[in-house]
Amino acid sequence: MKGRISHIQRFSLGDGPGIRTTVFFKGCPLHCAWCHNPETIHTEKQLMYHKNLCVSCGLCASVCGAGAHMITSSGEHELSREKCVLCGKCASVCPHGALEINGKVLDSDEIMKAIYEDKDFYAESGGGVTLSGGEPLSQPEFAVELARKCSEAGIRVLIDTAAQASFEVFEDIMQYADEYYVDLKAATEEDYRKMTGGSLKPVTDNITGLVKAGKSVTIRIPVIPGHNFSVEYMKKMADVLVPTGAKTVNLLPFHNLCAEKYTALGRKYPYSDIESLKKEQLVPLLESFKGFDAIITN
Amino acid sequence: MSLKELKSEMSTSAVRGKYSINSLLAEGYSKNLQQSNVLRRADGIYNLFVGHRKHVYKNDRILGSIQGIFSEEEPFPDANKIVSEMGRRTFGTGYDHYAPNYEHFLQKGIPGVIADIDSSLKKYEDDSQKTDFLKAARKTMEAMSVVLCQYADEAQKLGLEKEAQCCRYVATNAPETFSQALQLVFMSYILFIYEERYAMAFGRMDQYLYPYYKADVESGALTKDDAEDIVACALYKLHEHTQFLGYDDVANIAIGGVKPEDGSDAVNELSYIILDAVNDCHIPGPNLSARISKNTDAEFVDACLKVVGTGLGYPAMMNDEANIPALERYGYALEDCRNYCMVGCIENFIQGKQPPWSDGRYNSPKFLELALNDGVDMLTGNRIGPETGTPDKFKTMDEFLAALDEQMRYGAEKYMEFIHGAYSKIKPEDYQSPFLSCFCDGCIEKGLDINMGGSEYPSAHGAACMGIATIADSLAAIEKLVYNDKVMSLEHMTEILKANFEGYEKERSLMLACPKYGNNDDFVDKYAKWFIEEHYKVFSDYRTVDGGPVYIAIASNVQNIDAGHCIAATPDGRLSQSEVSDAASPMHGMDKKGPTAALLSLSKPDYTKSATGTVVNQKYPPSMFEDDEKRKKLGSLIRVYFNHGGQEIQMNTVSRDILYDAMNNPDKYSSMVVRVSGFSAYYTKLLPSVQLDILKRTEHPSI
Repeated sequence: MKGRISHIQRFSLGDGPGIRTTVFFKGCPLHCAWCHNPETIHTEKQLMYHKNLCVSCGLCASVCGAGAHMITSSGEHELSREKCVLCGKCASVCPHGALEINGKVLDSDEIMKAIYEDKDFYAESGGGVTLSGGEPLSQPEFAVELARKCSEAGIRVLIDTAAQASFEVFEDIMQYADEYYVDLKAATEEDYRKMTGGSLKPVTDNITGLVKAGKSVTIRIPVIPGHNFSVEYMKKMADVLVPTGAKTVNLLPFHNLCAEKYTALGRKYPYSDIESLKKEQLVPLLESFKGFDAIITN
Repeated sequence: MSLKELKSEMSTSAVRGKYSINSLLAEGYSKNLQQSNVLRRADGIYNLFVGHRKHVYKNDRILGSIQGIFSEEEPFPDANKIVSEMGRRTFGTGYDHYAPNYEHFLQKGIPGVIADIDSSLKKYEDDSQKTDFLKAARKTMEAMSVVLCQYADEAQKLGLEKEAQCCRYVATNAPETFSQALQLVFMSYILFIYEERYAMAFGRMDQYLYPYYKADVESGALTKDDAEDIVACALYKLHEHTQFLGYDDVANIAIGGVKPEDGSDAVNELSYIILDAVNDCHIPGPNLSARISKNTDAEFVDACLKVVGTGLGYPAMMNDEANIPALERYGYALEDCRNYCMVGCIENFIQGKQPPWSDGRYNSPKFLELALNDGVDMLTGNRIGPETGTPDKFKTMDEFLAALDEQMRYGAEKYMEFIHGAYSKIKPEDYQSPFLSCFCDGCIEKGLDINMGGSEYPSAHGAACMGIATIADSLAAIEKLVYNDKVMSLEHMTEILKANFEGYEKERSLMLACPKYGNNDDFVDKYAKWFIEEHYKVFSDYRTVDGGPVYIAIASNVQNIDAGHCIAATPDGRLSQSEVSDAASPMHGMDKKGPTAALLSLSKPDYTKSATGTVVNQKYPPSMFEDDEKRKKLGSLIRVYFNHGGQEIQMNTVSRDILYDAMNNPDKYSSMVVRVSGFSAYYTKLLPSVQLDILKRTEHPSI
């Protein structure tokens, strides 16, 4: 089976225990304004242009049949995105890595090959594979197939999800994956819709189901200035979690380090002017999670 | 703790007088011109050792200082001329880069060595060459004994009773306590510096000092903390080298590893104490190496990584499972192989059983250039290699590799001529090292100098073969573009390289897009395997002057930059005269799949054929070492690399300098990943403002 993948990250250290390979699925049903992986939102492939790496050598212009790349009379590289047909020729010749096509349709066996290369590192470090994104469960059959193949190869799987899928999807993947990172972004249905375009109910339902099934569930809360960055709001988040039975909470401080990725995609990052939060700033929030095992991480 | 006080006292020390080694040596050499060269040399050493000013710091715990190298006294007339007439060996002709057998030296002490000399004197009484050598050796031991007493006197003047007593005891007895043992070792090291020997390793300090440590701790005479302070107070004095001579010494210390007798884990309490003491010192000089075997605890690796993460950059990690079998290939006894240590940076050495180490740099990628151009230097147009055929002649990859092999062999012949040539000026009996010979098994027993067959094993030389990744990537590009895809002929490729890609940007991008070493791709990695096999084969045909083996090393220090200066453009896409790949690492920025893929590639060559050692440099942000969980992941990375047969790895924190450099030279650092919240990013792709932000976060307290 084939799936749409943004990229595969080896030696991934922040997406679960040990040394991991993270498979970033391409496509997400949510559109969180602060998203720090904007290249994984759209399902279709996209051209990324990293202007700071470009030396305006013109190699891209010489191979582009669509006229999307131009070197202006002043010797500067100019990109006309509307002309781009995403053929990828420019990216394959750019010697400086300034151009890339993000998004590939890959067969699960191809992905397994990359995953399998690092199997000794997973075994030694207690690591494994993380399916992330984007939203891995937006391609449920593909995610289940990858999880199954990993499980058959003796590799542990962690699912990093916003849990918008129906619980049937979780039931399918649960037999192959024991660990779950579930995002919780807001405390009320209204806020959730406003902040992400999605719905809170499936999130809490799915968390409850996973906990009941005895899975290891870590709730990941992105702390976003202007949205949920207050002790009071975090108390509401904790109240939402109590009935689910989830115990482990990670608070993730907002950062704007992804701004360049927006520029590379030809978009503007709405949060580029908002300062990143430091871990220390989140310490007071921890008191909202009494009775939970809560930490600040990144 | 008195390290702090010693540091502060030393910081106010300044040079007094002029460099006076030659003056002291010349005075000694001139005492009796009628006697044999080795006896004159011994008089020189005696005068040098006994004649210099003994400096004791008020906060000294182990005595010995190089401050006496400088003197305000009138120099001896014609000193430089006399010393230059006597001459001496240098690095390359068996002078330094040596690890004594301190274990034996400590067991015997000065009187024990003198007793051995006396019994050999009796044994060889009819052989004047031997008796002269032995008398010379005896004289240097007497000198050392006097030196210890002189230091004791000085220490007493400052009220350092305990230290004075310790020195005085070992002047005439074998050491019994930890302090005494370390004192004797450290004084030996200091006296080697007076002899102007460099990179004199301490060897397996945690092993040979352990019995003394254990006895003292058991008797209640020593605590762990005190031992750490004593070691630190000794090693911190390596800073004198930097302070007074203007450059760092590289005195290697090996900790960890396996026990010689049965191969079991040798890590002990002292291994940790030395690690901590070196960290307390936080200076270059004591070059710490951690030997890791399959039996080494993860806890020890983690403790090492903690020290690495302070910005110190060492210990370097050495894999016993590669190094021991590598040494076994040369017929050394298994116990000796298991007891190896390092001299200089990473060079494997059988401590106290072979003459001093030598090595040189072999510029492998130059021979690739010559194989492509029929033996003619592309930069100068001069013929410097044999005629192996013009590029149009090679119909297959194998035919090209055969030409490359011929160029390599010719290059090795020239290299060995150069190495051996250095010895032609040396008449061995006039270039003896009587003091050093006392620290080498066999010399006293046989009555022979360390460089004249006295040592148990002959000398070993290491040819450091540079540019493994440049060669692997280039051969992969040739195979792919010329022989597989047939998109250009080898002739055309050679023209492109001669033009340094000018007007051939498209062709260059094709070359750059070929598989590169460091991404776990067998297509190119097979040429890295070939690289080691080829050099091992080529250099195994040669012997050192005394019949010892010539090993290879996959290392370059920083000479990969100089080496690159004299090499034209290469088929990997490298520009003319730019640096070749560093040591055993992939080409800068070409290992695009991260450290796991890089290490899987790097573990493919058979390092048991690179007996000198290899250097693999990896850089991580300081946060990787500070966080317990992340540091454990680095430990796992090392463990898997070593399980797969890797030989050496040294990790560095990414310094601010590098981050600055990366902002200005993004191509060079395109694979450098920094972890930012929630995702990892290629540093060079971040916005300048974010790069600056990370730079600020990398502000790290160091030396």
